[in-house]
Amino acid sequence: MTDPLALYRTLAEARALEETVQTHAAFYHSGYGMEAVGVGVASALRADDYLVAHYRGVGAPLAKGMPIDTLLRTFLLKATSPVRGRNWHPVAVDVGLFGHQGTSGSEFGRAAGLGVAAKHHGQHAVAVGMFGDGSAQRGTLHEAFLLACSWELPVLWVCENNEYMISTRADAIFPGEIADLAGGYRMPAATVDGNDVYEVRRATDELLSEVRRVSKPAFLEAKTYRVRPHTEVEAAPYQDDAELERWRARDPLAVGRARLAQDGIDAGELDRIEAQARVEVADALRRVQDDPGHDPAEDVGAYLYASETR
Amino acid sequence: MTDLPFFDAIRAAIRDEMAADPTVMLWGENVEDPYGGLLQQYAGLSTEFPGRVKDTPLAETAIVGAALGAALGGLRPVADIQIADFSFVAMEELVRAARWRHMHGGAGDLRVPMVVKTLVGGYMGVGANHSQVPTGYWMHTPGLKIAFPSTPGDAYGLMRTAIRDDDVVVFCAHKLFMFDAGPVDGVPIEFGRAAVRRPGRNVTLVATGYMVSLALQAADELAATGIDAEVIDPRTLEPFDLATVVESVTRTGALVTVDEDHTRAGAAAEICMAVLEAAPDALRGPPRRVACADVPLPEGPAELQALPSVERIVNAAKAAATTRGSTPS
Repeated sequence: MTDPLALYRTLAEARALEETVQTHAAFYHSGYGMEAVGVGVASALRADDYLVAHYRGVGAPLAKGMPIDTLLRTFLLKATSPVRGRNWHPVAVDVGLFGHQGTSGSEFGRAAGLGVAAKHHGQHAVAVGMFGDGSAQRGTLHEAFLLACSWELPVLWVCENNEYMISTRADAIFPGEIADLAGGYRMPAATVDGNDVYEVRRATDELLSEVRRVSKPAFLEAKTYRVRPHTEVEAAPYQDDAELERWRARDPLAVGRARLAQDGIDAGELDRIEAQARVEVADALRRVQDDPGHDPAEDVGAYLYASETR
Repeated sequence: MTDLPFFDAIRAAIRDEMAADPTVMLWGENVEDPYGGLLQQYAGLSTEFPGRVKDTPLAETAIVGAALGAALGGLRPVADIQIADFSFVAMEELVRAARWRHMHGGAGDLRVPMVVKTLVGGYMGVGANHSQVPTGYWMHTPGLKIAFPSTPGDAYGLMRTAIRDDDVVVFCAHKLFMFDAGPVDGVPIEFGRAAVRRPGRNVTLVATGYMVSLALQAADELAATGIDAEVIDPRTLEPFDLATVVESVTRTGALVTVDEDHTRAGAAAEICMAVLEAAPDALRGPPRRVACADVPLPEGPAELQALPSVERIVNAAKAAATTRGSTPS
């Protein structure tokens, strides 16, 4: 298990990033209030593990090792980002983060394929496929789950159940728990409080050690909640105030603080960590905000084929 | 140089690449021995390379989606989609794979070295869901490369290149070539290099896959009527060797494109337009298309009403070659 304060620091950095990005990036799919899932899962990974992160939020790419400056450059569409300001999905090839795209459900096959690569390379690396309750409604889940089971792939599937597929409640779609899906594929499964970063991390560690040991898939459902609208440019009239208040009271930072208080950690220490995280992100923003945006003189056809760049 | 049947040439190319590069894998439905893939195309490979040739579930989106993931993870997968009609199930995954590098700005030198190998083609009476040559859909997708060989030698050479290529390649094999044997010299063939199958002076016929056979038969019939047809096989539709076609048309002044895909918005139309844009004064008259009618293919012999035939090619070539106009200089 990692240093509890280090995990809290990453959580606080994710929060400071969420607040900054949702202010500065149009159409941002905010992961505010869901940071514990991405941080808890991705902090458990090695550099040579592959991660297919959910499109929502910054917690997973941050905890996988993508620097704050690079994340900000990505979301602000700066030419200095790894994707040259063409795309606001985080990519960090050196830490096994290969990007994302906008069709929910396509992550399943890709994560399975990365599992094939992880197994082939033979270093007990794993692939982690993170997806939402919306993606879990796609048939692509079934196909990739079958492939991962029949080929015994080292893949951890992580459902970030935030209760909403845009405006449609997951419990209006699924007749039971999403984690029940794992049973049909005979995958070990766990369900955790997705707002408790320590629980997410503990469950991830447990499942991952088994995935690495036996090279077979496993399933984690993290129950959380989307406190922001689907994107920052729209309203969410389908979420009522009482529900929002209930979940705001279960904010991941508050839950983390309560856990650490039980361990005797001084609240002032956590205040300092949060303040430091905000300063780090603000400094990073200052460093990158004047970077050039996408260069209109760049050939729009560049990077279409690898063969053209050699 | 040995003679090999068409499918054996493809298998030999995959085998040679697998022997040379441990990251090459092959997967798809029913590819493992003793079945060895539909029509035994891959017989022996799973035995020679255990663990690297894998049966998949009946799950085309996972077959192609996993190929994208594996390619990102440093492997070179060959994903078998038994017949091209089933590729529609995986179209989303294929389009996404084609886009991946560009949409991520080539970040960290992202490469997507994967091949989707599939059987195409009609003339077997098996209907609209088992006969299509959907090259038009693929040509319309930026980021894909499309190899479509018409000889065993090209099938071998293009498959070697497809596996070594760092981009997403759709590799089409026509079912009718199953038993056709021909020389295989064991050398990779560069993409984007057309082959002139028959030199000629009066009309240029551009054809891929099984259409090359029909075009060559048509050229023989045309020769009997005094029309000397040149037959060009592009071998890859993307990249496309426009220079060779334009050079030919500049000499012949007449162009017929032959395509087994549907006529509307297909390769036949695209090649005509590309030639008109590149060499607007080269043709004496309008270019002509011979392609599949814009209807779903019927089952049984009725499909022949819709598909290209030697007769239709001959008629189009005669019309194109005898169009009056200024002689190209």
